[in-house]
Amino acid sequence: MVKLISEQLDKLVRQDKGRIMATLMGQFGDLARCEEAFQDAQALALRAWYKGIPDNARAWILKTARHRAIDTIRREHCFQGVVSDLSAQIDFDASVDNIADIEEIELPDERLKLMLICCHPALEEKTCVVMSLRFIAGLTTTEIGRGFLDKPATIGQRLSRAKNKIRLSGIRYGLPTHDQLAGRITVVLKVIYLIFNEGYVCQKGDEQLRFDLCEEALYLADLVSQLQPNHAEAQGLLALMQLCHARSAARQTGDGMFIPLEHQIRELWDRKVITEASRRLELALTLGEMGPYQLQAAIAAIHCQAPNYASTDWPQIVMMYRLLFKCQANDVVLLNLSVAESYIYGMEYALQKIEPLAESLSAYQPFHATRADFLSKLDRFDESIKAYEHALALTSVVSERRYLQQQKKGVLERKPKQ
Amino acid sequence: MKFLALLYAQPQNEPQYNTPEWDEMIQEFMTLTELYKNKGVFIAGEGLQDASTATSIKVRANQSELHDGPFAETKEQLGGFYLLDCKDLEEALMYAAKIPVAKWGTVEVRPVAEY
Repeated sequence: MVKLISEQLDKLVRQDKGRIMATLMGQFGDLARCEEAFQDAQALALRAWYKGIPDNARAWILKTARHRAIDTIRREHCFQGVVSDLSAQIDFDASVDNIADIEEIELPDERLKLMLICCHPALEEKTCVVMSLRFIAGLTTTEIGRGFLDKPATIGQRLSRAKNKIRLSGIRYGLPTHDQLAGRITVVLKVIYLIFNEGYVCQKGDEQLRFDLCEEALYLADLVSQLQPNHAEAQGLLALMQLCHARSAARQTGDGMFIPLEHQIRELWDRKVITEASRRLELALTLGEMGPYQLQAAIAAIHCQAPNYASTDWPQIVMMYRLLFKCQANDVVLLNLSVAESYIYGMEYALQKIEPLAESLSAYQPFHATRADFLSKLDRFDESIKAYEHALALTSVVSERRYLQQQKKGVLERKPKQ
Repeated sequence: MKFLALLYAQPQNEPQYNTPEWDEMIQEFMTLTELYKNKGVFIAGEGLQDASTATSIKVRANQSELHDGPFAETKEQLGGFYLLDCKDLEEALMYAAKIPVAKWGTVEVRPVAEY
């Protein structure tokens, strides 16, 4: 029974953590204090709910957490001989016992504020990632540690440094001015995309213990898209991630080898998600604020529309990559553009286009894998094998390694015997 | 809340004395200080003499040890400061971004500890 209660409590907490934390933050404004109060409330719930979860579970937790927070404030203030305005406002008579009488409540959604504080530009990027997973997605430090192959203690230290900085540096809990909001949302989106990519690279079967960060990122992106329905890039990012995620079942063999788009079994793609994401993208495009997430989503959508790899609409993809390069002028975009161009203008042309990137992308595994593929298709076997070896030296992800090794083997077999 | 904005820059990146750029910078600083005063955020603000004029002091075993130059050997040198009274970090950063040095150096914003 206790196990059942604790499972149900976990589920509730997972679902409502962001909301409850955000509401507590609105009142107390100190992450460390709110977190502690919230945890106390959960511990009390485990004991109080031995007969089953009450209908007003969310309100119960929130009220209890509030009381815990007020209690600690009162204790601290007694110590200092100061009476707090806050404690004066709150009715102390409502003890944990008579919380049973309160009715279930609708929480006002304060999560955008919580998200903005977790992704504050004054914090380091990785810290924003960890903060969002902890306070909005509700993961434990152990789970986050698993996701990033870090010790829970390391994650814990990062979190407490961040909480300290937020408390002391004068970062305000609240919405920024309208002018600043768009810029701040951009940081939130970047953090979410980082989480997604972290999960995308390391798929199941490779690191059994890795938490599914893609799912967490999707949850966060979905939340932002609901909170900011008219933010075109927020919608674009969600569409992009959904389109990538819809193909995840096809991206790996049963025994955990990476399968590139070209060889994926398209029947395994989740059509329902693709349709939903495509519709979302279309709506985003009508908002008239073009940006890199929407363009990348558009590229993914074009791939998803093609019944097979051979019938991919390459000219359209090339056009999208050129637009993308206009708003994100970096060499990785050029590399991807060249791959698309290779299907129109040929391998020789594409190879020549990527050679100048050799220096800037020398540590980027996909550069060498792409170059190896171009060379192999041009029957330049020895150079191709060498390029695959470069690529292999740059990745420790098992699924990628297995794929690259297989490709290399294929080239070796095709190479004429002397 | 009080915030200290510390102005760091590499001397070679700054406008040189006796040039129109220098005059322009001084003018910008004067306008900025005026703005801070009008907005009621100004507490103090000064420019410092060149870092080569700095003397560092340590007291060890009751003995003062003097050193020529700034404490830390960094490329960017402390050239001045503003002490501002703002409602939160956002406001402090908004005002700090207007400091001319931010264009060629770095402005570090630190909240003043309250005890």
